[in-house]
Amino acid sequence: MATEVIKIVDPDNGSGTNYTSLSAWEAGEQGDLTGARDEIAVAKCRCTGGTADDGSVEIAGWTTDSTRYIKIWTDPSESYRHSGKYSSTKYRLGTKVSTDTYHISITEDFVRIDGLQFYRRTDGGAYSCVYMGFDRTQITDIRISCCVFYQAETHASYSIVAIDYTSSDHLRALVCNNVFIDFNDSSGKAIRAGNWYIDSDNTPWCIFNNTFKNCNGIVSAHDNAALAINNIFYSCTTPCSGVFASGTGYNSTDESSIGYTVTGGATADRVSQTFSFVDASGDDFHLQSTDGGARGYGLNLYNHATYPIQTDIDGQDRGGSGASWDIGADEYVAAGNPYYAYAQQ
Amino acid sequence: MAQILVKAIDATHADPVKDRRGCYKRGMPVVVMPDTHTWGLDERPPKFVVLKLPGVPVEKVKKYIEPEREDTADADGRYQVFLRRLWKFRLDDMPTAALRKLRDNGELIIKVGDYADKYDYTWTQVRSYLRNLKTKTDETASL
Repeated sequence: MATEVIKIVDPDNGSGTNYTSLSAWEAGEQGDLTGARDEIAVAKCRCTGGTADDGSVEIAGWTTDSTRYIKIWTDPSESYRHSGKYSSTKYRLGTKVSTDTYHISITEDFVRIDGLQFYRRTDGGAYSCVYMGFDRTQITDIRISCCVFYQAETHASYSIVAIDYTSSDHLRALVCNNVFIDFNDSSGKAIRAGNWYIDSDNTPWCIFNNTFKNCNGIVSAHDNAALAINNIFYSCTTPCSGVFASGTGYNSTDESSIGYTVTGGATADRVSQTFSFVDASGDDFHLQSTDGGARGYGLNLYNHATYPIQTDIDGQDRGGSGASWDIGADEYVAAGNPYYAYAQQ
Repeated sequence: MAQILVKAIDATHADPVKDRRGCYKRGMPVVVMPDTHTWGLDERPPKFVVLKLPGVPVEKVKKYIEPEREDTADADGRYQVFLRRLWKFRLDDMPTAALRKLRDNGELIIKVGDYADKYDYTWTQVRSYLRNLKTKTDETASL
């Protein structure tokens, strides 16, 4: 069984720091994880003084497989992870430079990103937060979970895409429990999903339980490239576009339409809904107990065949395989529930 | 106020294209940080060395951490990486004393402009070991 090799990344160089930037970690650790190393390479990200990690990180030149992969995350048991909404004191990428083409580019096949914040600045170029390139020939497993994506500067002519891919790729991805805010440029969007080999692979991107605010939400770049379930589209004029895979549904919006075509027809979508968030104007999209637009209307994905998930953006358990799930990144858990106490740590 | 973190050992990949596009080679600059930056436990030999350029703005040396990109755009209009870094310090061609200092101390202090404190070499000396891998010529620009 592969060994987790954990390196601490901390721009503030606190006690025990191995690398002071994610870029340096990638350069220092890159290699073949499947051979003698037999390793899961883990970057545990901190910001002990609140400093942002900046610089464009390219994950390339590695060898990975399904059990020996790259994991970049903030540990929820530490204090450097966001609390489900953007924080300028928690670990984050992208605050200083507006011209980086991407914050993280992934050209490796087995990579997991969990609990990061992406602050996307721009000078008007075609940029992204996470970019997945290129020329893959095997089935991949890339997971992006519990992250906050925030576009800081918007303009009608800009074209920022929070999670993007290159057209020639062979990609399988899970995007779950994330929050996307203000990716609404005329050519921009929150997620552009595509698996160019969809006819032979037949596995779309699984886009589960995300919350989108003021975004052009999800674009399925070619037919059946995206399977979207349990997503909230709040103040999104164009929630989705393109042809989505069979099984897509249980998405909720305050608009009159989700906007997509679903192969075989969508199931249990909810339109013209009213959401009750903790503080929508402050970009806190945790659900309130009184919410009537998303609470209890989701599909239970605890035993999903491709990407089962059990928790929400805060690490709170969604209630098991028999529970009625909430739509969106947050699962409402009443105070007093043992998982509530855990998530408040 | 700049310091350049430079990869001191080669990474390799069996696929020659992935090796060229992805793998850092000995002498390739990785990140640039301000003078005040302190480095982590692994940002030193044997994996890395640091070239310190006191008084030089970070923005002036950021070009050395750019990749070499393809000359033509892909179907999405993006210029993909051709080579992990466009520039590379020819560390093994540097004077023996410099190599010894990098090995033992993990850093060299480079004098630029009117910097008046202690230094190991001048930028004029060091830049002749900084190779542009596309043009195959060494740096001649001042900082």
